[in-house]
Amino acid sequence: MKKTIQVINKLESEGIIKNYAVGGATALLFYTEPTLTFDLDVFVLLPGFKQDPQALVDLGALYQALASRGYKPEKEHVMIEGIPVQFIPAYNELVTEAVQQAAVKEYEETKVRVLTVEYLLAIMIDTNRPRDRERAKRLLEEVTITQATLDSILQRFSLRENWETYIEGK
Amino acid sequence: MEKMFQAKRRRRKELANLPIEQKVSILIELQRLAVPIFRARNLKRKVWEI
Repeated sequence: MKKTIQVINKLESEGIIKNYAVGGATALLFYTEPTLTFDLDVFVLLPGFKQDPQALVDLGALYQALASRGYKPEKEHVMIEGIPVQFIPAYNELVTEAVQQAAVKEYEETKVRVLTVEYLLAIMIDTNRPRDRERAKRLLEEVTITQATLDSILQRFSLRENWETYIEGK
Repeated sequence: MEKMFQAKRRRRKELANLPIEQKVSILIELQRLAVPIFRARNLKRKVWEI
């Protein structure tokens, strides 16, 4: 995984991606007990990025840069150093802010940007698939959440009601 | 029963506190165990080659 992260960091330092953060089950791995996943989700902000739901997102330059290094796409993933990576452009304001506010962690002495637990929770509550609810439950059981940070995110992204519904049904 | 659940919760917290490198090693073991099950359901999954 170290080599995979190094490739992604290089894409960022070369300006091919503006910013990134590991999300999904692999981000969860940084906080909770290990659970099964087969891919690495990476949320990205691209150069010239503007938050506009109508804007078309072009991953062409990113895929081209990866292909020039020998990393070819396989369906929705790009196999990078033995790990299938899915690049997901930040698709709303919540995810954009989550990427910007990501925590810098280390994996085998390599820096890696990872979504924080509070943003992971907010995104799960927003997405609200059964697997998100299950993951949110695990986060709440195993990790200490900074409640004030979570409250602020829920408030600003109008997720308070979704949160209350989730907590009631948990 | 409650003692058993408490022990489970404690074990989960212990696992959550492992270094990330160790958790990735455990994840790869989980993938090795799961791949044949996915394959039997015609779902293609690959163990990370790291």
